[in-house]
Amino acid sequence: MDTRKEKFPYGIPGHNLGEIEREIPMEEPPVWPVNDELKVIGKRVKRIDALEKVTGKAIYTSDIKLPGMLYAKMLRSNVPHATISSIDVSKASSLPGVHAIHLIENAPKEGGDGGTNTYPMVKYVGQPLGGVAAESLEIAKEAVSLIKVNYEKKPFVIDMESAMEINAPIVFDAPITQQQDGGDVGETHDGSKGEGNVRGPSTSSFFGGPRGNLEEGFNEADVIVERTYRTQVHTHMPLETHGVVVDWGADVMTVYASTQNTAAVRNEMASVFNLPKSKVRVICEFMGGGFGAKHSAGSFGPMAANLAKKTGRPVWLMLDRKEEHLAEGNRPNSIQYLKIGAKKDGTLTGIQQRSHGTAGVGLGAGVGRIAQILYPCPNFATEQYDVLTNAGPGAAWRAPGNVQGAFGLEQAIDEMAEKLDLDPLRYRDRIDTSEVRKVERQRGAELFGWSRRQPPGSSTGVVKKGLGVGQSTWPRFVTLDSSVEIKIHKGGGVEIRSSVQDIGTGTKTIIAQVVAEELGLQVKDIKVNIGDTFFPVGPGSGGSVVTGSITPPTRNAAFEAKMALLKLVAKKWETDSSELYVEDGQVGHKANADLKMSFKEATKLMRTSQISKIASRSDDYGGFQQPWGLAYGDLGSVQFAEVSVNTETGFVKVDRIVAAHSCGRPLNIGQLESQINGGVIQGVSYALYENRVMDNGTGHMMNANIDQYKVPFSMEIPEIETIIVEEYSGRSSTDAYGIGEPANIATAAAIANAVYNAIGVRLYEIPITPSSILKALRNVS
Amino acid sequence: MENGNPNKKNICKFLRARNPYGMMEGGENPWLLLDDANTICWCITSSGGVGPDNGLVSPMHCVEGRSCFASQDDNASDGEPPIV
Repeated sequence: MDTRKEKFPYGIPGHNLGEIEREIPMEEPPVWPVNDELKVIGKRVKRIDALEKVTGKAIYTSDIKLPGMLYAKMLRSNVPHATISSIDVSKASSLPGVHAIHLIENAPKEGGDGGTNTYPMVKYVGQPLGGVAAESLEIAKEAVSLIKVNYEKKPFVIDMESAMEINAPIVFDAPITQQQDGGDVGETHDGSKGEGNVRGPSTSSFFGGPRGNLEEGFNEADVIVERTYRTQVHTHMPLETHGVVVDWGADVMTVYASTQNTAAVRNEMASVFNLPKSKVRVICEFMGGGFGAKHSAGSFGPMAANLAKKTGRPVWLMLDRKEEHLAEGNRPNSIQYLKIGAKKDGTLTGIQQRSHGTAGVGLGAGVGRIAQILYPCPNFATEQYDVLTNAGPGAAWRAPGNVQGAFGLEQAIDEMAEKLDLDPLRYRDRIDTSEVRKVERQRGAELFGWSRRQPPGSSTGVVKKGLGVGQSTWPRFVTLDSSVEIKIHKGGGVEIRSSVQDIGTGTKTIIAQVVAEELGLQVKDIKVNIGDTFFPVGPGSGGSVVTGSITPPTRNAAFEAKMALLKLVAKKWETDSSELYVEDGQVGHKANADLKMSFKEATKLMRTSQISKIASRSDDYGGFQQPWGLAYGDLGSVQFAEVSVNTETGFVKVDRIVAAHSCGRPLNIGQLESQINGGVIQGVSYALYENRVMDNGTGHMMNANIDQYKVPFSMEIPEIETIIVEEYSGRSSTDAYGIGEPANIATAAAIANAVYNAIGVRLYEIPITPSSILKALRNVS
Repeated sequence: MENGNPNKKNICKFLRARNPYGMMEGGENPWLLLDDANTICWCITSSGGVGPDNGLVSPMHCVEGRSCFASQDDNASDGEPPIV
């Protein structure tokens, strides 16, 4: 047999903790007990790179400086829809200090939208058209300003609802009809064919398609809630913008990238330039944040490489904030129709969801599967439509679809509770079968003081107080393409290598913790070298997959290396390695306390200079829900919001958020709190502030900066308290999962419910602004 | 695949698609299409959501018959590099 049986901790400490037997691969390490019995895991370990970050010593992509390096700037369209008849670069190319200009050209093809035009058709303002490399960024910018692009303008459409009209300008000229081109255009809900700018519907997800019979479900219902919710376009705005430095050497192209996925950028650049993957090296040592839009080389990566190829010099190409807003991804907007039916006792009988959203010139604007899976309901159907507009493309954005979907669903559940004359929290106790959210509701309500909640609109005075709650779920995803190498060096020193990047969440630190726990060392003894594609492949940082994907192979590799080392000690002590242990930097013998040796001394027994072991992510113990890595269980959360609403000015202040979350076995409490804080702040920003404002007459974004594209100042950030619920399921050697996505899903819904509780008028659209508050209050009065 | 979605063999090798759970490079991991409502697509030859033929980039459309289509079976090292 290649497997053995082990008993794992199972359940939630303080609630229902027990044991479960799993069959696991023979080579995997023994079970870790719950965190209370571990020394490093689950503790508040300081980030191993904290000092470098706070002292400014950390080198980010934009800090890279190489000998002979040139600076590049992208040329972008300034009209929303056009063909390009010519591009005149003569003035730019003669500007002193300019070394190369590269224009994006299409291979002339018959049958495409643009006929045989050399240049790509412009579909949105900010679309990349070319780039300039020069001695300085200032010269590159000036050169770009000297390039004259001659456009033949075409009709365009920016606003989503206008784009849905039958006579709207068409974003993609080539007609797309169902079946004839293998297209995804079906019959829309009103019976018309989804032609023009509307694509869809998408009716299924990983969790299947429609369930039951909606009509029967609503016929069974005693109470119906039927509403339409709207969410805005939310642009991708990490502190560090997209960008690369490309150093195309004689043998290897080295790409320093601000990326969430070093391996994907490597693969993309290799494909674009027809190179073997072994000849492209992508490095991301420090990363200034990414929320989903940094998984690709984009247009800037190939542009920098082309300029490097033309000049024979390294090229620096980082985007500015405006480019980031216009062209590097956004969370699509949504108009969501939601109908929910329930019996008098609250039992859900039907959920119908229909949404339209625009990801600009791209697809992917669905509102996700949260309405499909958060609450059991026998009858469910969704229709999700993409609406194409002449605007910058959407991107994956922290819990894609779920954040928009939760804003609608969790308000509808609140409304249903009110119609049933039930407390919203108690109603969720009744319809939510998740044990972890049940515990989160209990612990969260106690810390938050939910019992203070008064009936909606009962707060007195000009500034009204309100309390609200929102819930979320996020799947547990695992990337099997996750590998780690560990090296134990002779004479001491432990090193970890993987291409996985740390986008700021603390991946380096949790990897060090896992190894330290397994080897009985301290975190400071572990050197973590990651973010380099010359190391074993690691997962992309998206979907909250990293912790659950990379920590099990990290532990497994460390275990293998430890066993190799212990065999050497066992030989010296003339015993069996199974009798030995490593703890607090010492190798010891379980039955003979006199036998002790430091870890460092043990490494001197090595006959070679290092022990090297590589491990890759294996299947979960007991397998997956879907074989490619959809794990069992979920990442549940419950967030509570307390707000103050000034009924004279309309200003909303989020005073406090209590965020209760689960992520399997927590690895580092401080880092988890930090991620939750970030998710909550982003949720506040989404609920109240951030909003891409487009000029429908010109197609330009009106607030493509960080002044008018509002994010919260420190005074607008609420007091945030976190509750992290340990939940053991015995599915891997670490049993740990991520928290990046879940931290952001429920916040906007909780705030919206709190605003309703404060003023007694419900807002169905975000961002909730002073204007929308006053308008809502005026409509009531 | 179900629902008439294309399989690995007839998806253009220059298509990239990403949803919360992973990335499809060419036709690798076509299971991503199970959740197409949140799948973002781009073409690496044109560096965006608009294809080299100026058409929409998506797994449903980046298939054989399109003027810019490149087969999975095309050996990159044998052919001309794409225009970028």
